[in-house]
Parts: sequence; structure tokens; C-alpha cells
Amino acid sequence: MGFIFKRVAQMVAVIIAATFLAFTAMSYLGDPLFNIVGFHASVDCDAVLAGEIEDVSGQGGTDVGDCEVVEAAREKYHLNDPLPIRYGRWVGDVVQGDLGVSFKNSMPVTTIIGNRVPKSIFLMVVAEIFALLIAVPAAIRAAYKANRVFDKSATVSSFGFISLPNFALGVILFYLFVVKWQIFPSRYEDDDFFSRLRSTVLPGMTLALPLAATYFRLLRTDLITTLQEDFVLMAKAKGLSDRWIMFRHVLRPSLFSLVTVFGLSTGGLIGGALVVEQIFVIPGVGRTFVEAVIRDDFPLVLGLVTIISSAFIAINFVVDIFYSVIDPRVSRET
Amino acid sequence: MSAPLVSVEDLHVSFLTEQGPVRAVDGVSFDLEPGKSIGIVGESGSGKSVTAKALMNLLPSYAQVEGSMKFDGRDLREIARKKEKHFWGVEMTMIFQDPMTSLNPVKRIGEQIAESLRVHMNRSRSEAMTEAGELLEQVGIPEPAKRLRQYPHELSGGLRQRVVIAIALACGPRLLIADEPTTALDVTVQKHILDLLDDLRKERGMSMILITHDLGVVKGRTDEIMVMYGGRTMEEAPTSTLFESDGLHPYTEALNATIPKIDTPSHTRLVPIPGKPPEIIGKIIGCPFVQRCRYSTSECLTEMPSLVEQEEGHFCACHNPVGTPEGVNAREANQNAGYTPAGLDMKEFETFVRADTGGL
Repeated sequence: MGFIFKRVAQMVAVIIAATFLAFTAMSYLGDPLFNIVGFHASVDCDAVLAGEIEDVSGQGGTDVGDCEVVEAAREKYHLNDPLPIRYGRWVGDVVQGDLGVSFKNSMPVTTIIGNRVPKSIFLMVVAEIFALLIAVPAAIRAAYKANRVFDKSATVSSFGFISLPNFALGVILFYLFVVKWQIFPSRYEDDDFFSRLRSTVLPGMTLALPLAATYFRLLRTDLITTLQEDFVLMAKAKGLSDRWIMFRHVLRPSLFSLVTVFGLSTGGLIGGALVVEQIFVIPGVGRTFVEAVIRDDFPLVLGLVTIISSAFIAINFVVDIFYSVIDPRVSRET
Repeated sequence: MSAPLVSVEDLHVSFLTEQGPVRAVDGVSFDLEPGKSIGIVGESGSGKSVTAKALMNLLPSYAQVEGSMKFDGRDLREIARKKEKHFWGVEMTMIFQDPMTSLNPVKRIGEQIAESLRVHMNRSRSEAMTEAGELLEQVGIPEPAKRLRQYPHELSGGLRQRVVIAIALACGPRLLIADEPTTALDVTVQKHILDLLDDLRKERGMSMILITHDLGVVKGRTDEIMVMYGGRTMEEAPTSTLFESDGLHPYTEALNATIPKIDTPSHTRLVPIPGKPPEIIGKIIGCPFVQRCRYSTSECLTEMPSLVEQEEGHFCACHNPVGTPEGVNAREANQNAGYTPAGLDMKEFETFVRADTGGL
């Protein structure tokens, strides 16, 4: 009970830290006003007030002065308040489930996120499943017959996949499977589960192969280390078969590094996979995020930061619990 | 004399390394009758554990094994080649030095005992678990039902070694090999474990090979003792015969001097054996112990003494056994010269002399 409470408190603290940092950075590095009212913001309103220059009539056929537009926006978005108060107000809204509206098209941020996040999560799940399906059997095989032909060739190819840049792999797969053999669609289709799955296979593979290579190397090393343990010798002395020993004695205590990196990469993929989303034209979180940052779309960036950091923390929470499932010696209290 | 259960003849094990083949076991032979026990004694590196692993088919693939090993008349290497499923773990089992590491840390005690029964004896999960509980009771673990559900880290070292013994006994083996079963345990626990092994062996009529670096452990426990050094048998005798003296072989004598005895006065210094065990690469000539021996003569440098029966049932591989005229002469000559033919300074033994008289 105390454990859960501690973790939730930790989670809240991290989310607050992350969003506050994002909030501050956005306020100082970008100009929120400019993004709300556009060129109106370029008028020096202090000078207008001082009577040094005249507030020419507004653009777009209205006869409202620029400074009036700016002032109205400042009022509406509380931009005159000091930063901590504005942040506090934002938090208050978030707690009530309101992430604000996008500056770009006035759509509620929750709607945009609700539209994009599932696509990225789906991509992430597919990629991780592929990666594990490739890495785990390969690592077991390689560790069982370490330094033999399979192990050596798998190790060499894993180096290849780790060092191959994502965009290169993506483009190669796209060329082969979409352009040349036309097995997969070139557009992202999202009509039903199967069309979505079909559209996600290639980008999923693009993400999965380098991941699988990393997983393979980690698990192979840990398996080989565990195979040196005394209890494996003991298991052999008990007359257990190699297969039994591998699956029932060796695999579980060898999962630590894999689980750790799995958690990190999963968390990372929730934030979208920008390059892959770009190549395969998936309207996922990654592209949305970059566009929002470029446009200084305040509410959208903050909304995404909130969602991504929460997801990251949630996944690491699951990973921590999984540690104690793998190894009963890991106490949950620590 | 009944037919031996275990019969090892001229066993050689070498490991291929970049420097050449390392001879870990170099021509070891012994027989063990059903229900009897033998103690194999030697420092680390003497080849005793490798001998045991050879019997258990646990050597790595780069080990080269030659010679014959028979169990109940059957060739062990043939059994290994045929990958017989229910031999090791059933007919013969082994327990290891460190109970902290020889149990799987992520599996419950119960599962670890029950799995042998399920794999070899075709028991169902629940039958195996019931039997596991009975085994825990036999090895003297209180509250077996509770222990079955615990993990190794929740048990003390002594209890863990009892669990290891329970695992080894699960399928009713005819031979148990115990490799330094008490070395990692507290002194007070050591005796309990050794007594337990003795009792279980007698109850079950099981044979046992007890491997240790500590002559005190096998003294009065095993029927026979074999002292190994540099992969060879140095001395072999029934335990009572061996302990009539402090051993015929200078190595046995030296090992004996390293053990604190109950009747030696306190503050007597224990005597270390100078030097360390050799790693034997390639073929050696002469006795492997010559570098550390104060009974050595020039003959020892060039000719390996063979294992000869010095007295009834007492075998020793030494040109100048302790207590024989040759031995006395060799030692005196070395003492007068100040160093042995192998170049060992006799001053290294000075502590030895003091402890020797102190003990008398």
C-alpha cells in the first residue's frame, strides 16, 4: 500500500517537473502572443500607448486596432499574469480534463491527442512484438551454442541492424515492399483493424529490427552469464534436459537487461517515431509533436508532454513490478 | 569383496588451452563398493573436482577424457554418448560446494526438489510436491510445508545445503558425490551436515564420494581416503590405516599439519605448505610435489614414483615415504644442505618444525 502511494506521488512529481519545464521553456523561447494573434503582435503597443506611433486599423477588414486585438488575446489567455500563476491555471484545467485548444486550428488538444496517440501506441505495440519475436528465440539459440555458426552470424547481423540508420532501413523496406512488390499499401489506411495492421507492418518492422538487434545482444549476453552459474551445473547434475534447464532455469533470471531496455524503448516509442512516421506517412504523435513545437502551439505541446511523460512513468512502473516478478529477491519496497 | 559400484581406471582429463593441454587428472584409479564411502582429499587444483565432474558428465566440451569409468559395470562414457535420460540425477547425483549459488534464486524450494521427481519418476505435480515435503523432513528441515513455498534466499546456509541434499536424494541415487559440501558453511553447521550425510548414506545403503581439501572432514567418516595432488593419486588407504600415522606421503603429512587438532596447545602455529599447486601443462617428468617437498631427492626430479602398496591396503606414490629409512635420510640430507634438490629453502619449514614439537 505504501509502495503504491510512493509510486503515485513520484509519478505526479515527475509529470509536474516535466510540464513545468516545458511551460517555462515555451514561454521564454517562443512568443505565445505571436502564435495566437499573428502579425497583430508585431505592433509595439507600449509605443502606441505612449502616443509615439498610431495604432493602425486591424488587418482582415476589421477596424479593430492591432493593440486592441493583442490586449483582448492577453486578457483571454491571461498572458499578463506571472508565469507560475499561468502554470497553476493550466494545471487546474488539466485536472478537470481540459488541455486547452490548439492555437493552430482551435481544435481541443484532447481531441487531437485522442486521434494521434492510439496510432502511435498501435505502432509501438506491433514493433515491440516483432522485436521480441525475433530477438528472444535468436538469443536463446545463440547462447545455447555460443560462438558457433548461428551465434556468430546473428551477432554480426545484429551489428548491422544497430548501425543502419532508421530512415535508410525504412526507405529500403518501403522501396521493396511498397514500390517494387506492392505488398503493402503506400498510404496509411485506418478503416478497420486489418487495414491498420497492414499499414503498420512495414513501419513496425523498421522500428523492430534495430530494437530486436539490441534485445538480442542483451539477452544473449545475460543468458551466457546465467549459463555459467552453479545452479545450472546443479540442474545438469539433476539430469534435467538442456531444454528444460534453458526455459525453466536460465531464461527468467536472464531477463533483467532486456526488461529495462524494453521499458525505455517502449516509453520512447509512445512519444512517436518521427522518422518512421514521416516515411510511412502515419499521422502519429511524432509528427504532431514536431509540428506543434515548430509552430509554438503551446497547449498542444504541453498536452503531448503530459501524455508522454505519464506513459513513460507508467511503463517504468510496470517494469519495476516486473523485476520483482522475475526475481523474488527484488523487494518492492526499495 | 563384492563387485565395485564405481570403478575408475587410469582416468586422464586434460583441458585444451592456448598454452597447450592442461592435465587436470593424470592417471587416477579407484574402486568404490556399494554402500561404502571414499574421501578424495587435496588442495584446489589437485584434480579432485574434475574427477567428480568427469563421473557426472559435467565437464565442458573442450575437456578431453581418457580411461575407463564404470558404474555398476556399465561404461559411463557410453551412457553419456547415448544421452540416456534417466541416469544422472537418478543413479548418481552430486552436490556442490556453495549452497548459496547451487540453488536457483528465482524458483521456490518445492519446485526445485519436485522437478527431478517429475522429470525422472513421472510423478504428477502434486505427488512430487508431497514427496518433496517428505524429503525435506528426512534431511531435518523443520516446517517442510512452509519451506516448500519459500525461495532460497529466505533460508540460512545450513538449511540451503540440506535442501541441496534433499534434491540430490530425490530419486534415490546409489551414488552421491559431495564436492566440498561444507566448505562454505559455518563450522558449527559443518558437523551437522556431515553427520546428516553419514546417516542418510547408512540408512539408504548409498555409496558416497566425499571431496574435500580438509583431511579433518574425512577423518573417521569415510571408509577409504585418496589423497590427490597435481592430478595424480599420492596416497590411498583405508581411513583407519592412514590415520595410524600422519600419512606416508610427505604431502599427506603436510596437509595434516595444516589442520588444527583438538589436543595441540593453543597458539601453536599451523604450518602452511610452501608454494602452490602446479598447473601441469604438457608432459611432466618427476613428482608433481617435488617443488614443495622437503623429502625430495634428485630422483624425484626425474622420475615419477609409481603408486605402490607400502603395507596391507596402503598405497603411496613416493620415493622417500615419511617414516621409512629413505624418507629419514632424504630429509636429513636436505636439512644439512639447507635446501632441497628442487631448490626449496629448508627455512620455509622452520615454522613446521616448531609446530611439530609443540604438538608432541
